[in-house]
Amino acid sequence: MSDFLKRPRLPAGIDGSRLDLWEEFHRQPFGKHSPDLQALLDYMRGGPITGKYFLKLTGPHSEWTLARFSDTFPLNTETLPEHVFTSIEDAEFFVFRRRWEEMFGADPGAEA
Amino acid sequence: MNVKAAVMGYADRQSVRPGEPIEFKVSSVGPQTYRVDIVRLIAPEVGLGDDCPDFKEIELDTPVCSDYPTEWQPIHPGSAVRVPLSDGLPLRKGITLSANVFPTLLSAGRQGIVGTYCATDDSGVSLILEDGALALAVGRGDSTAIVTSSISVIEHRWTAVAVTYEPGTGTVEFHAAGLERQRLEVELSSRERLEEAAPGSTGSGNLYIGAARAVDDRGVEHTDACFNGRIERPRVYARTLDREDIGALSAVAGPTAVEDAFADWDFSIGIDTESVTDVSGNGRHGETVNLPSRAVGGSNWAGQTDNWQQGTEQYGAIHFHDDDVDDARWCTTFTLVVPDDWRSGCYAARLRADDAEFYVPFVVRAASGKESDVVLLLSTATYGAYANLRLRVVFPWNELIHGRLTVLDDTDLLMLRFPEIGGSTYDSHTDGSTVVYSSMRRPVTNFRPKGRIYKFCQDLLLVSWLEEDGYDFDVITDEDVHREGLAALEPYRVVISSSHPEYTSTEMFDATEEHVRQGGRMMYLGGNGWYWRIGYHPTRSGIVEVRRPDAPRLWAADVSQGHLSFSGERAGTWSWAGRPPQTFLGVGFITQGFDECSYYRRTVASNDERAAFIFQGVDDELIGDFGLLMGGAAGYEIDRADALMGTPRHALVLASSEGHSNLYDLMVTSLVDSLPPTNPDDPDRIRADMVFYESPGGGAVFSVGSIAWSGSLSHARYDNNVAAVSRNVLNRFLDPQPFRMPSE
Repeated sequence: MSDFLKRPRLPAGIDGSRLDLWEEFHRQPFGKHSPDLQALLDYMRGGPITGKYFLKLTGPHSEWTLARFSDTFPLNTETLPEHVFTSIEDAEFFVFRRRWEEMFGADPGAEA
Repeated sequence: MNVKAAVMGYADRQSVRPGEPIEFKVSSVGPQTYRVDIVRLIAPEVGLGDDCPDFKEIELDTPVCSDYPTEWQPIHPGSAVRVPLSDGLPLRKGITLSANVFPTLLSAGRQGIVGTYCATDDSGVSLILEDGALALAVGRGDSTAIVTSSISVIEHRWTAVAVTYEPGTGTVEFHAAGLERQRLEVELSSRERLEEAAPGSTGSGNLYIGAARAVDDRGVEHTDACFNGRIERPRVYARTLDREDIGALSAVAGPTAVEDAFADWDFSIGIDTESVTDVSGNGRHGETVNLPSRAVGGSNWAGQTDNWQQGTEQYGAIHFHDDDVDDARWCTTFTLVVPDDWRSGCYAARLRADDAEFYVPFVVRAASGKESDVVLLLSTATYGAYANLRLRVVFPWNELIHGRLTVLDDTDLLMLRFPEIGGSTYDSHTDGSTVVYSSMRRPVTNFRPKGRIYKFCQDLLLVSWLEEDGYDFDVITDEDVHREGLAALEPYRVVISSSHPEYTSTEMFDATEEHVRQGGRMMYLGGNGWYWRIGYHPTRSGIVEVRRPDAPRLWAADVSQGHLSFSGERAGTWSWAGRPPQTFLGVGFITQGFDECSYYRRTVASNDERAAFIFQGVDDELIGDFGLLMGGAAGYEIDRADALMGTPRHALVLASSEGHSNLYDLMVTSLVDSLPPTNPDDPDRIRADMVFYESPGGGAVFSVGSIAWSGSLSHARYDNNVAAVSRNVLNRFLDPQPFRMPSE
């Protein structure tokens, strides 16, 4: 298949100050999102496959371990056994926070 | 060093009747032995929640259940044409090798064009590409000489290439000329010399076009140094042609350009076969290996037709890929003869080595004359089209379009560890062109009762529901219907579709529609059904062909490929062929999204007395606002009714879904591109419709238009309105009392 879908751009005005987007995602990780949250998610999720997070299914649809693709081709994978989840939502929250921190330099879910 | 255990396998067919044999081919690494068991599959592994049935498989006692010694069986991907040539190429008067080439991946390194060169025993001679330059490979018995020219060919351009070689003097001359119409190319030539004496013989094995030859340590001959791109009209002369003659060789049509060819292969003959014809009169015919793509435009394709049957002379090219694989060609490990007393259902060979596990599912059909009234039609054509869906693993946008983190398990990741098992018709070859043939005759990582709840794994939710409710039912496959037509369905009053019967051959469409026309009943309990037209390989089971000329974003577009090679039929969606799924199912695919599923809201029409049996005992206005697949019965991929697309005028739209997420909009506008931009809040566009209609012959169709429907059946231990509606429909559909058309 042609690689037609380029990484979406992050619209202006979405930056580390928009903690409302984290709060919205935390309230409802799936389903309808505000336009700004959808744009942020599309940007986060649309990154290159190299180095990308995914979930390794380690229990029958009941346990997921964080994993990453290698930084170079040919692709390999590495599981991160210190990050095991028993809910998909928790895994989504973890990766969202980590990507946010990589983009904006701070953990949006850190205790104030 | 310990090798991580892996075991993989496949069967020679997906459907078998009692008393018939089915062969299994297994390859493994790691421990000294692996275990084989045969199981009947009752319920898939879907999780531990309240909505989830327990995983259930029944181990069966058969002679093949045993420990087997570990044995690695390699796969040799890469397509070519193989020509039997036991005496090698005659060299006494020198030799000329020529072809028109359209290379698509020069970075792939050494790539064979035509000849007998074999790296295993350093024999033979071949015209090759060496890092993009024309070159000659000459085997000397104990070493190989590569004579490289100063001529580099250009990627994605047609070039006529030739080499002459005089063993006596060691003189090698290369020639090249661009063939692109409307372009003026410089003709290039290069004269080189082979410094040391060459062998007098040029190989005793087969000649290959689009590859070189090799032999593995089991003695199995296979393709090597595979070409990526198209080759047209390869020729061999048992003498060195002069420059004027070589200039005439690029002509692709008509009789042999220069007389006395040793061989002259015209790929425009037998496009719908695996045969390759030598038109020199010397009978050096060949056959394709690993199904390279035929029915593709050649150097003379003029843009006037996309149908290879109308402009056959313009389709004299074959597109070869170094990752084509139509059959792993493993030795049979064990053969199961299905006992006469096994009931029809879904079965599998379960392979285990340490913590590695692999399933090879198959269907046991009912013995002839002992059919039930109900049959579950497993969508093996769709399983084939999606077999080894690599994009779910390696494409960067998978997470984006699914709106969730990608979840993979060890079996999915076999596609990274063993890339030679190949991809699906959603994947690209290494040169970026789209896979058009997909085979079940190789290990398939996404045909199993575990892992992602999709396709076969999800279809077992229908099996578990039918088992739980105590229905007698049989199972057949798409390919059974394709091969046998209506006869495969005639014993049955009710056909239940699988959850995602996306790919349909003409034979399948005709048979299922005719079944209803003659009084049969269709329960379409899925979504995105009867969407793409596919072709089945005319003689070999388990191989499907898909081309998508009407979906350029899903298809690395080549506008010459408008028709299937297997059948010659127009390729693409059934709508593109003038036969939208709405004309049969009442609904047709509209969009998809995998982040969240929704529910149906009943319409006024659900109170129509024609539909009373469907909602008997169901008072809820919302149907399916629960389920193990993202929380609802309406989702994943959804279909709607559309009068303009052929939904029968008397069809009742009983319920419609609503409230789908943003992702459903994204899929319509960005991936499938079948509609103008849509607003997900617009209920007129983004919805699944539940539809019922009667057929003139006393039959009927009930459609839910949603893949996720079956994920809601098991909610509250099968006591819910999705199961109730399904049960009501099935019970009435089992009643032989004919349905009456509303006008009667």
